[in-house]
Amino acid sequence: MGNIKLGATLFCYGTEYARFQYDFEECVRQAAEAGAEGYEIVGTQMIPSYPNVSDDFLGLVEELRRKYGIGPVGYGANNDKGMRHDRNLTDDEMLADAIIDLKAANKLGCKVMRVQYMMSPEAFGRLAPYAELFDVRCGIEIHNPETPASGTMQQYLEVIKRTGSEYLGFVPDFGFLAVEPNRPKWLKGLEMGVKEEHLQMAAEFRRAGVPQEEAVKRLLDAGASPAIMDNVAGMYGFVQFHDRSALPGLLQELKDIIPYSFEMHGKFHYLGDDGKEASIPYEEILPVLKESEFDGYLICEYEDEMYCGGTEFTRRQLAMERRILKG
Amino acid sequence: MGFAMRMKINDQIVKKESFKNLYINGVPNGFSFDVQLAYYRGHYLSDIDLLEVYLDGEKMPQEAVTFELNGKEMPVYKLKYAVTEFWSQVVPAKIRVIKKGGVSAGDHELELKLMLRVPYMEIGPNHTFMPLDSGEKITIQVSE
Repeated sequence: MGNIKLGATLFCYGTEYARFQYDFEECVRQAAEAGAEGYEIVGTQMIPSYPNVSDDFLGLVEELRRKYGIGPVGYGANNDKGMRHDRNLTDDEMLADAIIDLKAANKLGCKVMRVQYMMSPEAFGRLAPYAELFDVRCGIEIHNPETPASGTMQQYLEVIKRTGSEYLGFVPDFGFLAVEPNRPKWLKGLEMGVKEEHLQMAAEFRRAGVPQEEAVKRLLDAGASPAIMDNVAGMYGFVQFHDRSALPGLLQELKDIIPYSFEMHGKFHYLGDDGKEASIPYEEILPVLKESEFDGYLICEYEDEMYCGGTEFTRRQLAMERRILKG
Repeated sequence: MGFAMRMKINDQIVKKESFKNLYINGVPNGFSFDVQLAYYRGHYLSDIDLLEVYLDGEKMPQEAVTFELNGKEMPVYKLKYAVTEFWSQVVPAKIRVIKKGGVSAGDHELELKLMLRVPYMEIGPNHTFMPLDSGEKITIQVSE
């Protein structure tokens, strides 16, 4: 049997944090109150001395651990390949920056680091000996529209197998298992004056595999408000969804990748009063995780498309996960 | 300009209350204001592709504009080389503009054009990344 622990990324409170409604302490306190047993910290978001962790900040982290009982367990690294004005960073440069991230993760006591696929499979492979020294497991994030079986992710899997390092793996984000349109974007569309029938039409086109440009043309021909463009972009982009009939196959992809996974990102966008995520079928996903050998954190991650703050939804998400996993 | 991401988490990107006249040798000869990055995470200053200031539609000369972060004041042309200066989204930067005579009393339109690259969202070949629009146009009231 595996060992699933429940955590939250402080990214859930990104809106409150950027609005100065929550400081770092309040984010940690809220995560603890919501039921998180540990938290993920996104370095570029909340570390004041980024990319380094200062002794002052570490002191604060330790003080809050004593106060609220939780500390950082995952480090969310950003791999900023486009940070130079004139060209992309090379593999050598990406690797050097990722080693700085490893130092930060290690200093904070995180045993897992999320790596973005901006880092090439080759550079990722070269990270292994450093990850071992710092004792931080590095996982490439599998983020919608990627799925575990997609070509890019399979290239990373090859590298992981080739290096044979237990320190290289994946952090699957359950957003790839979405089978319904993104709820906040849907609501935003309605607010912008898009008719529900046109949103439904867009979703049907997506399910039927109609190419994006053709879908846009047919929607506009049908009299849809141009504001629907944002919905269509989401449906074909970072919040795309699959037809429900694809779910068994996607769950199999998840099963196949679990032995290589260090952490899960329990993505959520919207939970109604019924405690259900509107687009991601947790009732079907979490039993798969429960029956597996997965040993690590399920880190819930709120994507605040509505800029309404993540406090309430994070509570609901953790309660829902607990109900399904431990009920 | 084509599509650009906009993440207006805060009501104010350019902080209205921060606007004030700048003095050179005791005489109003410019103005300054604070700006918060409109995104959920911070960026290296080298991610800034464009920074321009317009007052009542008139573009301020680039050499008269500076960007100050964490006590370090830089001319705009240096931002793209600032690969180690990290701008947190919860630390507003100060923009200073030298303008002879300062800004007269009354209402004025202030526009900051601020474009960045989201450096982990590659959207095409040849160094093409998701553009982020962190600028804003506001009306300010300058009192006597």
